[in-house]
Order: sequence, then structure tokens, then C-alpha cells
Amino acid sequence: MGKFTKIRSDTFDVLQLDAGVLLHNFDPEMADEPADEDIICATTGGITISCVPTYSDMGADVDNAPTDTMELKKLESWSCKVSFTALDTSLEMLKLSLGAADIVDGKVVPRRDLKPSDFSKKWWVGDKANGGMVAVAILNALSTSGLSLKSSKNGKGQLTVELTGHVSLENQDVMPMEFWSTDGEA
Amino acid sequence: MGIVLTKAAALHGFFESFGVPAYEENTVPDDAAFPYVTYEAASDAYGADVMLSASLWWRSPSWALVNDKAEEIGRRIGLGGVLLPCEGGRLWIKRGSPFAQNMGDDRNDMIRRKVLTLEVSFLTTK
Repeated sequence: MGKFTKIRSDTFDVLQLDAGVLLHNFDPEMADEPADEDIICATTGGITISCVPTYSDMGADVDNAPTDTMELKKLESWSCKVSFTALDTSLEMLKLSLGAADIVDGKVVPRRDLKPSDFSKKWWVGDKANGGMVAVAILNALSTSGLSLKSSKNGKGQLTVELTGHVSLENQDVMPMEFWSTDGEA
Repeated sequence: MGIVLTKAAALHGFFESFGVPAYEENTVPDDAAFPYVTYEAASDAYGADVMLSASLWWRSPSWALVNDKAEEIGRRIGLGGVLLPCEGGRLWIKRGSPFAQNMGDDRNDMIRRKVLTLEVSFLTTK
């Protein structure tokens, strides 16, 4: 076998296993098993988390400046999203997927304007092979993809949801996604 | 540092932990007394997924006892599976589908056999 055909001895300790769970509340310091009421919904197909930066090249229109010059690169913003397919069609889940909406008289009604209460912190937490966890907090999350419900013959109705994290004017240096990765007990 | 089990020992230990004797399916003693568990002893590494079967063997007029044991094993494995530390990493045992099926025995119509389907991921570096 070639000497470069090799993996780290801890490769299988740091795997993230299974789909994990979406939560309304979570304390990564305690990392307790979530209570029923903290679980947002059942999902199918796993959860996708992305935190993608947008850069501008200040040297793009500068003659003789090489493309992607390190000193001329500027970080403009972060786009932080959590995407999933929910199997939950409760009123609360329909409201979450719509974003700007209210539950009124047993029905969910989209609203004309956004309210601060439409934004909330959400979590995704998953197990690690060594007994630890990976946790992602999305700050000021709002569903920006709207409601998309697909039914099928002999199948389960699926609600496609994309939560986008937002920066707050009150904390403009705090980007809307945070990450934890802890190891389990030996 | 504690004792590190071989993959074979970890697998055997799992099946032996349900209160009945466990035998690798090719080494069942001729005088083995019911109830017992037999299992396929396959092995792999580097994240490979292997489907294994195990069988619960009961001598009983009804399926109740063997059903209970299958349910107990199913609960232990649970939704996310169970991780067994072993040399090189760990085994991740998950429920296969269908998890449990009844099977008769031509030798004796009092023998209740429940075949379990398991998926084992060998999360090991050797």
C-alpha cells in the first residue's frame, strides 16, 4: 500500500452521525437530551446547514492588480441558512414556514408586515461518533422561502423550509450563526 | 486505559447482553438449551456498512416471549443505533428493515425463531 494512503487514527471519532434534531431551545454547555417541547419538527432527508461568505475583490478594477489579491479582498457579508424538509403540518409549523404569519382562530394567516417576534434563535444538534455533539445556532432565524407543501399518493406530506439567520442592528458585529463541536466522555 | 475489545468480541458482547446465551451461528453447541441467540459474525473496516442477521431461538407454544426479546433488542438499538467501542474505533449497530420477522423450524413446530436484520457500520481504522 502507498505510504500516502492513510487516514488519521481519530477519523472515526469525529464523524457526525445521523440527521440530528432541530430545536427551539438548547444549552450547549449542558447538552441535555432535548425535551419534547423543544423539538421543532420531525424531518426527512436530513438537514442542510450553510454559512457562506460573500467577498468582493477591491482590486478587480485596478490595473495590474492580480485577481484574488489577499490584501484587497473584503468580506462583505455572511449568508447563513438552515434548510430542511419537515413532516410536521401542525399550525405552529405552518406558521414557522410562512415567516410573517399569525395563528388566528385556529388558522394560519400570512401577515402584510414583519414583526420582531417573527425572528427567533433556532438550533440544530447532532451526535458525534465519540459521544459528543455538533451544535449550530442560527440567530434571528426567519423562514425566507415561504410555505411549500407537497403531498403524494401513499406518501407523507412534506413541507420544505429554509431558515435564514439575520444580523441585528443592536449587535452588528455578531454574525447570525455559531458552531459547537464537543467530544464525549472517555 | 481499559481493555480494548476486538470487533468480534464487541459484537458478541452486544448479543450476549440480553440475558440469553449468544452463539456465532456456525458454533452452536449440539446441546445448546433454548432460548439463545445466534448471529452472523461478519467483519469489515473503514466505515463499511454490513447487513447482518441474528436469530432469537425460543421453544414455546406462543410467540410472546420471543416477541418481547425482539422488542427489547429493538429498544436498545433505538432510533439512532448503538455505538460499541472496539479496536480501531467503534461499531455502529442500527436497525435494518424489516427489523424482525418470524420464521418456523422444520424440526419442531414448538421452536419459535425470530430473525433480526441489523446494519452494522464498521467505523474502525483497522
